[in-house]
Amino acid sequence: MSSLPRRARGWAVRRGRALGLAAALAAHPALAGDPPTLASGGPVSDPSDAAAAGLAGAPPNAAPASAPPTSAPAGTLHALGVQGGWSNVDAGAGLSYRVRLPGGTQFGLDARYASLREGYISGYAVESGAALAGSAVAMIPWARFGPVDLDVRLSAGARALDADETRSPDRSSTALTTDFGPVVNVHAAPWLTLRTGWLNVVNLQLAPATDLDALGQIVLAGVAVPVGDRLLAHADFETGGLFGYDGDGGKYLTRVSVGLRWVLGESGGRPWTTF
Amino acid sequence: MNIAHIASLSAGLLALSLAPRSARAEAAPVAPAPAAPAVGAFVGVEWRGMALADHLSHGPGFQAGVLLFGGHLKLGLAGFARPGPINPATFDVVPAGGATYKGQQRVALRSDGGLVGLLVAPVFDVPGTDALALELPVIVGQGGFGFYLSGDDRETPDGRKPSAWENELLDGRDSSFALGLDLGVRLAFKPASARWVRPYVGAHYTTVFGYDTYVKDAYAGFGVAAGVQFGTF
Repeated sequence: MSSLPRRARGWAVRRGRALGLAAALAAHPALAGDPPTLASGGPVSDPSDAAAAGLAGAPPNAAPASAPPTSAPAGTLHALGVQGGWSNVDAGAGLSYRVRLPGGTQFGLDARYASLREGYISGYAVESGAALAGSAVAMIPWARFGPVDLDVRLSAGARALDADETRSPDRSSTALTTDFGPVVNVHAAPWLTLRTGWLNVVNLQLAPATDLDALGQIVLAGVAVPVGDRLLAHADFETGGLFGYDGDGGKYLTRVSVGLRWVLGESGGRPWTTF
Repeated sequence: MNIAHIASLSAGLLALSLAPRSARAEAAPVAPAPAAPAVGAFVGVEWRGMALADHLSHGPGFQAGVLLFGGHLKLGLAGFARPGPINPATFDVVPAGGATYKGQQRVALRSDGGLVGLLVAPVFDVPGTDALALELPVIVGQGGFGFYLSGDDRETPDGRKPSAWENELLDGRDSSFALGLDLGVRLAFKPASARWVRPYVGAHYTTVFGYDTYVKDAYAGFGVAAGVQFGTF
């Protein structure tokens, strides 16, 4: 708690840079737009939004151009992350990489290793085992309004599962994993970003036989807190129903995860908390 | 207008909402509350309590899409899930044909399922107040609910998959997928200081046309929802 005022001062400095950047961007016809905007960046839709969101110092009747932008555009940025998570089916840890382009579009790679308490090979239950998964991720800006970033997340990857205990005649499997859906990040305060949304999950087992591994929708809730100029701590909760292997697969997922992300280079403007 | 036409229209509107704007408004010294854009976007998440198929259950719900006519019409995708593992209700069933399972003449089944479909929701201003909006969401899509062996009963006596036993015990009718309909009435709060967020509560009626399983011949009933949506309202 003692470092909070220092962080607040740091935010004020960054906010000053953001205001200058916002003023410059406001004159750029390709980037400015009517508030709220759809995938084009731009000013906060209403100064009262900024005040309500806890954006420091936003006067009630300030002009939109003087308010900080929802997502301060910046140069290309990179971030590395480490996460740990526990769910009703596994416990694991992972690494991630993200690159954010000036317009806000993000691309990245995720890798995760998990110890399984529950899994499925062709519909046969796996009581213990391990899974290694990797995926490519994209976050496409959809709309910006108030303190809200609305992005569409797309992910595609693969998962290898190795069973220790299972009734399946096969001890391992590989699957194609995909998810897509809207993700909302609310910049509620300089030190707090709230996240929600939902993802459509479609996983297809490729070997030992092609079969639907998982189909469902997962609801997201999370929080991200800058703990330094370039370090971000986050916690996320996911829950939802699943269907796979004609009813013989997993039926539910609840996962809690925590992690850290390290932004490489100067972030400029609002801290990069949208992932 | 068939489903293909609706899907085509929705895709067109979605593409329109994704298109960047080329013009900008002059910044005024004092900004009045701007009107909602002609085409916007929204995302919502919720939790539902349900009284479907003569029992109580709960699960997550979701919606996303485009806002039209200044936020007075929502088009998109929506649905909800009724997961089995978080709902303790069980259904005692005498297996078909007098069969037994692990020496038992009755089996206790759990249920799961959900509904996903196209969302159409007119949004009205509530007369006399600027703080409330009334929504009438309609979801039309696929509804599917079923019944399954749970817990230790999933360790079948002969090593076959549980679904093989479920098919035998329930005469091949352990689940049913068909056209689903969800009708709702929702009251959303519009904070004057944060127009981009709308918490809401609602009541819904859900049914799956032609639903038929060995356990239940209908999976319909009323429910309630509480959630929050974000958008360019």
